[in-house]
Amino acid sequence: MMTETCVSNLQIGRPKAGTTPIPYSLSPMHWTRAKLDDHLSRRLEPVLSSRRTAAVAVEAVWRLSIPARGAALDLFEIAAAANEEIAFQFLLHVQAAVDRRGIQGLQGWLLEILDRYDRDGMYPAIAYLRTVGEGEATAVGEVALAPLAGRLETFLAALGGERHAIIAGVGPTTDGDHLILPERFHLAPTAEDNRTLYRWAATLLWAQLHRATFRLPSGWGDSAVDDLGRLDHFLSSFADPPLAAHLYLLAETVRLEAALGRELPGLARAAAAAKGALLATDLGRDHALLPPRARLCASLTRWLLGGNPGEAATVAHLLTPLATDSATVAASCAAVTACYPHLARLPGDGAMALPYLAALQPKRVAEALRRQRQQRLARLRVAIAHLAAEQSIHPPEKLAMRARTPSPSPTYELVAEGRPVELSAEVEGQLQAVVADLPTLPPELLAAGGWAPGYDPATPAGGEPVAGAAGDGFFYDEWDHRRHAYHKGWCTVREKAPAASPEPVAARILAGHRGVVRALRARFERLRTEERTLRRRHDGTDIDLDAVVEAIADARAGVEPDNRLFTRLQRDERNIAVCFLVDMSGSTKGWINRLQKESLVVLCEAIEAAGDRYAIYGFSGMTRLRCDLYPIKPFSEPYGEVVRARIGAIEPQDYTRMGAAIRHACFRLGEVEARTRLLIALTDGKPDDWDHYRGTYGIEDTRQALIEARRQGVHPFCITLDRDAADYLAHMVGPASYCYVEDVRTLPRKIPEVYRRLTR
Amino acid sequence: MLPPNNRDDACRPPAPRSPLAMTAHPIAVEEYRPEQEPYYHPVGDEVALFEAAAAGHIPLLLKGPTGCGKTRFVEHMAWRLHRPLVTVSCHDDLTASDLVGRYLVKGGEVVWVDGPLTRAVKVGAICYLDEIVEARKDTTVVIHPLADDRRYLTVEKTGQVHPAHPDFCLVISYNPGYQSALKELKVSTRQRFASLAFDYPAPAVEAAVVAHETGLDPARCDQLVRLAQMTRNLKEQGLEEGASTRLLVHCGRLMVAGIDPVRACETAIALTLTDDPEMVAAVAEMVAAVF
Ligand SMILES: Nc1ncnc2c1ncn2[C@@H]1O[C@H](COP(=O)(O)OP(=O)(O)OP(=O)(O)O)[C@@H](O)[C@H]1O
Ligand SMILES: [Mg+2]
Repeated sequence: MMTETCVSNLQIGRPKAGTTPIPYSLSPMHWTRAKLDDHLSRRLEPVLSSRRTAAVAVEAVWRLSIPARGAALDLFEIAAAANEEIAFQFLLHVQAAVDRRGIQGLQGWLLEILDRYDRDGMYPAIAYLRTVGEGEATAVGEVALAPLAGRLETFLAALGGERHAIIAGVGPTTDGDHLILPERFHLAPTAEDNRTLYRWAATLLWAQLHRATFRLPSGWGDSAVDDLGRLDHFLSSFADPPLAAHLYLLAETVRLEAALGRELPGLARAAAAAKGALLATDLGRDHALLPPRARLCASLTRWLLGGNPGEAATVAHLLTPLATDSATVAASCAAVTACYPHLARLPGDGAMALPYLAALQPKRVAEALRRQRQQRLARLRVAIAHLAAEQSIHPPEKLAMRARTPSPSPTYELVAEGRPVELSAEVEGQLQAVVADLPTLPPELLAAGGWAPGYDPATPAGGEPVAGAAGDGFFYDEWDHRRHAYHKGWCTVREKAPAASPEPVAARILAGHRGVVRALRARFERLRTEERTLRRRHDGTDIDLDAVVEAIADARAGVEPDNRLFTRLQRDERNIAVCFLVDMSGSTKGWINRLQKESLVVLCEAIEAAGDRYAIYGFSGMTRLRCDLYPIKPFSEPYGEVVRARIGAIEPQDYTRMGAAIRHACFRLGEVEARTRLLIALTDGKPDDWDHYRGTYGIEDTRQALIEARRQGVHPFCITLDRDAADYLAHMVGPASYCYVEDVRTLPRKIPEVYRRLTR
Repeated sequence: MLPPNNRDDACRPPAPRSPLAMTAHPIAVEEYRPEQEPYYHPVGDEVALFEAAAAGHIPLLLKGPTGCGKTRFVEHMAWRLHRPLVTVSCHDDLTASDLVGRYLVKGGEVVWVDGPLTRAVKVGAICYLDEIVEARKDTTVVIHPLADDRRYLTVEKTGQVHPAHPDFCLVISYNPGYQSALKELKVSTRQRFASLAFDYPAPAVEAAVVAHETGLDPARCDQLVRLAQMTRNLKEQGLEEGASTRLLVHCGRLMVAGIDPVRACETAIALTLTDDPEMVAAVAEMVAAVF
């Protein structure tokens, strides 16, 4: 009677084989050839025909060594999720790739292919893929960024601070948010040295951001601007700002290389060796033909690489003290002032970059760092609001922050009415992040009420208040599958007050579905209990052996033995919390919207009968800074007229950024004490947002959010109405269980049914 | 020919620290008392706080990540206060009888055997319940009368009430990092305790601890601590936990025994922290950068 196709057998976490990615636990590398054939044929079906079978791909995989086969089949799934034709070609050429790059290099290769696919489309990607076997596709010793980027990001994250995404571009430089590195490096003759130089450059960029290169103390630049604005002022105060900027980069490089040398001697040793190799190239030569200033700069570069400063000895001498332990960014400024005249008087253009570092971008970085500072403060504010709620401090304005130890690097504590409050881990973490950047908190934050939720502190001079940094938002990371990493605090989720309909929409729906509701209520009431074995009962279905042994011992000891010797099956209180996420994107206009409303009204009636705790959130929004969630029914609010009026008012809005919505729903679920937590997402289509969220990116982020949910002990389930769902759905909601409903008209009956089977 | 690591000082086992390390046979729980001073490097005012709490009969809750010195601290305090130390590692099958005692049938006779908690109560020991949240909630409640101002233990089976010895001191520990929401301490349990928060010590202190525990040269200890901090920064970014002080001590001992630092870090740290080959490689790169 039901026309929908249930892809899942409705057992949580156990999607039926065939439509979903293979469970990796089966170790594809040990598959039989027949199984392999079967799997590849199914996976590649869209690009196969009666004349083109999977046999060649099977043969190619079968010839691989066992470990290579494992790696290739894992990666094949990634490729197939993007494009079956690419996946097919990937298998045909995988042996050549293993020969050239080794098993370790396979992933990097696929990443390069998929990058090209994202950028240029399928045919260029396949053309590139095919070059893997041809001669030397790349210059000798040249290395590409793509396969290194993920590992580099991890390395820098380990050094501390917020995670920075590494992107390809003109560099190496930083814009304050990202570290920008060239797509390929072939400075040194060997690949080994080029890899080291990539790492060294990235680490230096990290150090620029975290060791105050862009944060001058007062006394340098214009003291009237904030610490982040001073560098630009300082450099512009010279007659030739680009020259000053170049000298500043040089001075900071001397200072930071020495500092890193102390902290990371192993890396510094490798870097010194790589620099030595650079010295043996053109960079180490004397450049007699250059104009005087450029010649001096070239000599300085040679000195930086560990060579002889030659005619730059005087300037090098001025820079040398920067390598000491105690050198600060102020010393770099002083060195720039001292060195500047030596170069400025020479004719010629001297603003050239160092071999492995490109020019600084003080303005852009200052902007980004200012925005990050605001975001950190906003996050701290949210954390403090949570803390106030948790510890029932009312009103939250009572909380104040004060310095516990005096400057220069004070530690702070929170007090409520003069008494210190124990910091939550969340507040502690956010406070540390804030103080790492802003050692002395501005006075307005230490004033009473400075942390009140609605209070926005004066923006520092020159800074703009940032969209998304307001105190009432929640920040969530977003998964970037190409980077294999998160964009930290990328999405701002706000809970917006939902509208309430003045029309008795819900009442009309109830009237129209009276029969269905009555039947559902009856079935759901029977759910109110669940089964459990109880031990040590007076009577029951089985003997409790432990109890018997103990009773015998007690009896012999002369103690009255306990006569509760049985186990019994107990039907117990349900302990379930469920959060429904309802897609309110623009595409739900019309009858889908109407059916959503009907479904929700019916559903509420049913769940009320079962007595479970539940919440309903609508989600929509536009861009990562405006992910809106509408609490149609929060967990804390009872079902009633108000909730019904809100359901009646659900109207399609903008786009669907599903990942953020799922993460926020999980956060809300986490606040409820329940043995079982369920997240049921109802969506009409692919995740889609205005800023690059459509396509693979959104699918992968949604998938990742579902994986996170599972990790947090939430059981996710997706109900989808997308007609051409099959192609991506299995992959996207693979971490969850799911079903899709072909005949939308059955939705009002379908949703409660799914719920009942999930929680039975 | 001597094997290469048989040099005089190369592979000395760490000095015995506990009576158990010196005797070959087991001893009764309540007889365990540290005789030599267990080395503990104070991080803040925890020693004074513990002494005050013990004197004022206030039970203590120690919380902090794994391997940060909680157990060592309790051993040290037992030595300092001249009290025996009874340790119970809690798990979800631990019943109240396991703590309090039970009747056993021995050769036709039935005898009552005190559990570790009862023994500690009688002799005035420090009773240390490690990872208390792992124990079932109905087990945890037996400590309630001991942990408030009544300070007695009721043994239902024998129908006896044991007032606690004046030196009896209850200490529980837990690691707030791991639990699911379901494994939280009951509020009524929690509110009977004063709490001491532990964390990995500041770099200089941690390096001193590693140096003392291993005899490794200070420069190497600094590097180990730096590596540990790097792994701690990756907590929840690929690693479940960063390297604990305990791991650093292990790693340091391997180095003192002549193992190459990179290999020692791989064995004691990288492979211990994660099974994910990608993360193992990432940690290996950090090792290469730090050493
Ligand atoms: N402050 C310290 N003083 C001396 N040694 C320390 C200190 N901190 C850590 N250690 C060292 O760390 C090791 C591990 O500490 P310990 O066994 O006490 O950890 P723990 O906090 O009890 O961990 P777990 O929660 O896993 O039981 C000790 O054996 C000791 O070598
Ligand atoms: Mg311990």
